[in-house]
Amino acid sequence: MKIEIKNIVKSFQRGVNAVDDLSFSFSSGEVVGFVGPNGAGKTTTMRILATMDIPDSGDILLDGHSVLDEPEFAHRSIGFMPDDLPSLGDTTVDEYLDFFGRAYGLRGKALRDAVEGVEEFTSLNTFRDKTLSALSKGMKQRVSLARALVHDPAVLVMDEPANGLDPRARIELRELVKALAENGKAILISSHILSELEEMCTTSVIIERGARVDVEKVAKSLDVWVKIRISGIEPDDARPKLLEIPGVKEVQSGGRFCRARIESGDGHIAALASALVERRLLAVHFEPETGNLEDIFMQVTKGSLA
Amino acid sequence: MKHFTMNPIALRELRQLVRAKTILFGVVIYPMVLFFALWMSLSDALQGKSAVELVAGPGLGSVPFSTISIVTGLIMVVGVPGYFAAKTIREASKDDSRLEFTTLISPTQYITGKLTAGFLLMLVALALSLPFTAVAYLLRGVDLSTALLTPAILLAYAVVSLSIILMMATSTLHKSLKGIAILILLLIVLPMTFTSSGIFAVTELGSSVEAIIVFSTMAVVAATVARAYGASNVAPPYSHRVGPLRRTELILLAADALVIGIGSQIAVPHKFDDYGYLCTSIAAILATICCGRSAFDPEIVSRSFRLTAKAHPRTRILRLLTATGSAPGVLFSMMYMTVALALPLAFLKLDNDFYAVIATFFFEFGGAAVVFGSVARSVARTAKGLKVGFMLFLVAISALNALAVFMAASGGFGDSESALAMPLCIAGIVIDKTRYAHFIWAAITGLSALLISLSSLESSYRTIKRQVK
Repeated sequence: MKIEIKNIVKSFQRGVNAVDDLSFSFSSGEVVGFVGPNGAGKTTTMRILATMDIPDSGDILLDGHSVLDEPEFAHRSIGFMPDDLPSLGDTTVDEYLDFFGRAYGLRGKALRDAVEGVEEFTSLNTFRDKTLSALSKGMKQRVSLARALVHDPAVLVMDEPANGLDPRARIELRELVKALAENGKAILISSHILSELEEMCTTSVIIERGARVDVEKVAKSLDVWVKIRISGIEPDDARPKLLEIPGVKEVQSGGRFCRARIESGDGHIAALASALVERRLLAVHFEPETGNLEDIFMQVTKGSLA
Repeated sequence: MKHFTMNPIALRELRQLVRAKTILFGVVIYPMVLFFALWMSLSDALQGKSAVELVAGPGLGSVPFSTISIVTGLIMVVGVPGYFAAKTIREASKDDSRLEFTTLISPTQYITGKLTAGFLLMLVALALSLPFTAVAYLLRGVDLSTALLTPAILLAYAVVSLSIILMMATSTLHKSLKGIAILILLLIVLPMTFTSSGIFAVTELGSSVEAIIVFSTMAVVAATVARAYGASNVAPPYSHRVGPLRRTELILLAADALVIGIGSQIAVPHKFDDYGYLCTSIAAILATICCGRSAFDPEIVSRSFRLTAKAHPRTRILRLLTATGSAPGVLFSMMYMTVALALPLAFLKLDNDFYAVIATFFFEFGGAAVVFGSVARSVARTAKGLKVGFMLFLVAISALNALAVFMAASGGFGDSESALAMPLCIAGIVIDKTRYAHFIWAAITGLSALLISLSSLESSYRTIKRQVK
């Protein structure tokens, strides 16, 4: 399935756009990290995609079907996991999932199979008879994920799913997301933990003040770190020698490696490599590091609200 | 094999009911209360009577029967709807509950599901009271038709009450305002309406069978309308129910209020009885609480209608009210049409009694709704500094209305429904949502309220003067 977000505009008051002409697309098997400062318009966009809001202008197409004109198609195709936890405290996990299965039109064996399937996938089997109020935050997140998956949607929209989870639960969530992507689901996921998004996402969309930021342009302008190990020279001793090389802006040493910061671009990297050879510094490890999501995020966002 | 497809909302509600401690407690306590009521009323009836009197007399059953019917009626008409109202308001305040509308559940299914669960709970209450009713019947003094019809009528009332309460509980007003409105309805307005409509049916219609037919029809219509409004309230997307109005919308609505408010006072001859006023009061509250932004937004209504018509081509007209969130809008259109039809009658000095009654009903229905609704909403959204001024203004209007009501009770002709504006408006003030632009809207509609109040006061004065002469 191809999801196309087309020129979405949404304002809440006095002409300030929470989402301002936002466009991007993604397809089945992709995990898109949706990144932006607080108030950037991530949740609003996700709510529009999940049919919980309608935009002032623009549209979202799912394989060419508009979520505005054909909300039922969107309901069948999208599983939405909001940042709120399930609130029906006096309902058991099994009943909660059974209710949503029925709400999506499942009945009989198909319903039972779907509920048991998502319980197994999210490891909720042993908690199925517990009421939601008796669950930890991490387990409630799992229930929320199971609910979003119960009708086997082609698109999964997850708003801050790792919020408040402990490290183990985060790792497990990451594995679940990877497994879902391998099963062919298109996943849009927002999170503030950028390092984690980087590990599970195939691509990312950064927005600020409701508009998309041109990440490619920014990434090109970012400096590159090159991880270097010089044979026979300790990193601390190699540091001053590296700093003498033209183009090297900064050198960090630690462990067995040095990290040199130079301007991005193949020419600069090649120039550093040849400078090492000229100075008879025998590099046994030379690894340019690509700019990470956190660097890009910090570079492109100012933290201002829409 | 075709699977039994029970409404998912009803099933969920029933599962929660089974687990709810309040309900379990109620089911245990309720028979005890009934037993106590039976015992008390019997001991009263037995006091000072000999065995001969008891055997030869008309029987002891009537007092216990009435007592049990009142207790059961309170549980069914007030208790069950109150429980569901509280539950629905609590659910609506959590964002998670809105996820239900990202599934294939329709707004109508949502309301119907809650109604079904409530109805089943009412049946439980009725079933628990039946042994006590049977005892009262066996004690003589109650005829069989009364013994059978009373529970049926109570059940019908209870369904109407639940429908109306659910409609309010799902409205987009602030939860404190909803709570106050529901309390007023449950404790004052609905019991009063039921009592007065019962008296009306018996005194005006004479035959009890005819009264029951009229009554049942009214109950079905009221419940259906309330259900349609409730569905209309919960029709997604929610943002359009709470979004501020645009300037053009404000101007159009202000024009509506002026036309309907003032037009009703000049166009329609006053031929209206007290019972009509009571109906009007209820209708005004209902319409006020139900009118959301969606009702006035042609874009939302037309988009919803287009989608509904596409999905359900055969029943598109029927579904218009429930699926598009446009039920209040249709009501307003109806009022407008009545104004348009009534104005020529007034100018041509034609006097048509039947039309006058119908038209007045719609005017009062809509005029009061527009005025009360808009004033309450506007005050709620007006800048904080202006709220005190508005409050004083509304107190003045209410004082005038109270005088009008007093004069009406003394034989005059007053706008009793206007007095109900007060609790709604005060509750509106509590809400802390400020929208400066609503000042204009509030001022214009407030002025309409003032004009109507003065007009009704003047009308009452004239009527009393005429009667004195």
